Amino acid sequence: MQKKLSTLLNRPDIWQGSTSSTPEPGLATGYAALDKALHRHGWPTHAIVELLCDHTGIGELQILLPALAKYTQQQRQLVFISPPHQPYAPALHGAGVLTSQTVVIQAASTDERLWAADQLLRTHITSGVVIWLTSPVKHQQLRKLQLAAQANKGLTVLLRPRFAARETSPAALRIDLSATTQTCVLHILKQRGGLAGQIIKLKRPETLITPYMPVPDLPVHAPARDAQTKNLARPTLLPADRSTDTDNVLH
Amino acid sequence: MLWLCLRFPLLPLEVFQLHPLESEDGTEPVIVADRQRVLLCNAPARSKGVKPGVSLATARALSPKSRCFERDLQLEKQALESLAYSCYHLTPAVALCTADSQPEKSEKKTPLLATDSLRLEISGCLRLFKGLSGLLNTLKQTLVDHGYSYRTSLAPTPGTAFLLNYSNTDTIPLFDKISGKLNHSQDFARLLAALPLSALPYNRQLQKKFKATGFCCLGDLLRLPHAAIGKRYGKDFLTHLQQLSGKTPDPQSAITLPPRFDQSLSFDNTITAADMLVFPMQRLLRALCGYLHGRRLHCSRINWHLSLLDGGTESIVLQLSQPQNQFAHFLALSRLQLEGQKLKSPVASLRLHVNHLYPAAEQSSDLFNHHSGGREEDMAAVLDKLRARLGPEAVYRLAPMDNHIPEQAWRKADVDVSNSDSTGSHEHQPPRPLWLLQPPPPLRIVNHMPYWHGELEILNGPERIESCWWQQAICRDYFVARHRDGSNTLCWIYRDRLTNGWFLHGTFA
Repeated sequence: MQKKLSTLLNRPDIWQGSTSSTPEPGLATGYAALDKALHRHGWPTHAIVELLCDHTGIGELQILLPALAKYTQQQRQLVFISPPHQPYAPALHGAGVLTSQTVVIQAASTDERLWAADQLLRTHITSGVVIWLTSPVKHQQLRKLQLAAQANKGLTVLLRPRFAARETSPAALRIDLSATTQTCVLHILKQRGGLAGQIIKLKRPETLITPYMPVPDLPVHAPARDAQTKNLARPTLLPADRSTDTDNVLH
Repeated sequence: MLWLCLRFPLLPLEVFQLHPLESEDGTEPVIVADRQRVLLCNAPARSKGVKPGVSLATARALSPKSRCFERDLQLEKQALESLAYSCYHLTPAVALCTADSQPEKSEKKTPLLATDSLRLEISGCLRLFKGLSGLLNTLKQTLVDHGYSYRTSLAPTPGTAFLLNYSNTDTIPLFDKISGKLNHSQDFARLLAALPLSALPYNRQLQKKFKATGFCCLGDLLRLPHAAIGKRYGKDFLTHLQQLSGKTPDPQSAITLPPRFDQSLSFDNTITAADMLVFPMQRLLRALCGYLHGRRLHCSRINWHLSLLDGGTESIVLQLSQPQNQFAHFLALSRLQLEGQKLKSPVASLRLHVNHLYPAAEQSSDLFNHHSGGREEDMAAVLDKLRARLGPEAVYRLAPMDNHIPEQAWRKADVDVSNSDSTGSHEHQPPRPLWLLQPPPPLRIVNHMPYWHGELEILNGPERIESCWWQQAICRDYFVARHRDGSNTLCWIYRDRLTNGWFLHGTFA
């Protein structure tokens, strides 16, 4: 009986609440408040991390960047599968991500995105794989991705719209993302082996929210509009035309 | 000297096989004819009563549904060549003997012996394969992949090895498993003497003469004095017999591999679906891999050309991230590409040619560091696969560029090229968005505010970027803006000073 019980308990798909006291440490997120809320003190590896957000531009990639930057600095590959817009190399570089280790894969359909992720994860190359899915996914497809992610010693991140929060997911960590004027709000919906329900507020970078430069009275270049009359299109200095739009908006 | 002779008795038939032998389609009767006589037929045809030697008309009457082919010597030669390439990694002395490779003294004279075979001198390579049995095992693995049926024979001279290939007794047990030395030379001589002359591929005139004189096995000829044989059967035959016993040297010309690989297969109009091309592709890729192994080369690009029956052509180019020589990888990529192909008309021929060849880079793996072992190749392989399915444009790396204009401050880099990151620090630069919108969508102005799915409130700026006055002048003021609609998205917007228009250029993800 004892033997039977122990073989049953040794199955990898049976989770025991008592073993969660000594979890394998995760990857440091780079944010102390977030590390504290995660029971593995960082992003879980060998599993899917699911981030749910509806808008691009609320800092959804920013919270991943410290961990991903560390990856590329260890000469490991970082793969973006179907990002919603073009990842901008100078900004990534500024955040410490080595762009020479960054691969972008554009796949149109959900099936192709999942296939690409599956191919990458099954090679056992420790890497950061970030996948964007916009349309609804079947649970079996996510389950397959989760099985593939178990082979990945690195970070597997899935970004989905917020309506997916209503569906079940095999992800080890699910975080709902929103933003206030100053902060990015992380609401932990699910954490395998740990507590859920915490709300963490991470401040957006200071350089974005606080003015770093006063509005100066800058001159402006304008090329000669009428190139027909002048042989050479010579740039001329015009005084800055301070239009009403800017004046209103910038106090 | 130890010669291994490989003969492929069913080759004329098997070159026309387009499916693996075990597939169900392989069960239709197939007949190969040479000058209106059946040369070979497969088992289903034989069960209908078709036999080698009967006329083609009779065979057609017996088995009307059978597919008939005229013997294609060119195709057979190509198959033998690809087999020779594959055997090249066993020994450098691989001789390819076909009817046209025999040195002929006069054009009219038919050769004494039909000699289609591969002859390998293996005495120098036994130690590498840890003895004769090791070498034969490696040979077996190589040949099984090709799928042709074959016979092997061993002998101290190439001529004897070839003739013994027709013997019913296996010659391999006569030799020591490790050293490759002959165990009992008497047995060997007896075996050679017992060969029936009628079974050996001597030409028709010789066979007639043998019959007339009443000789039935090779031993009868070997016993005769040389002068008598020379007088009766000609000088060439005497030389041939002396070469058998090793008294006269029997030079074999070893193959040299051509500088480029180019092979093709042609079909009758049976190939209508892309997946039917997989088996012929396997054949060509095997030949390619044998060739690459033999020359110690890797290739970075594979070109497939399909000629269609309606006269059109289609080509499939496989670009590899890293030069390599792996059969399985080539095949997987070719299959992926084929999946996307729709054939407008049946395929008449398939050609594989490879120009981009590089010396194989020997990679030594690290003894202690487990991080780097094989990882780069794995990544390259998976990227190849992704590119083959999603298209070459869909997979790329990023590279920053030194340019003030935001949209030109980066470029798409090839995944193959491992570009090093520029060391320039970007830490103290003004904020840059993680997502760039290309082309930047224009913004409306509502209530004196830029509007993009909601009102945008400007937080920060401007940062003026002004450049390229010598061509398309650029003069922009960039601002960080926030959506007021509750989503609080941070955007990077600019006002074009020249047109006074507002544009959204990125978001701070």
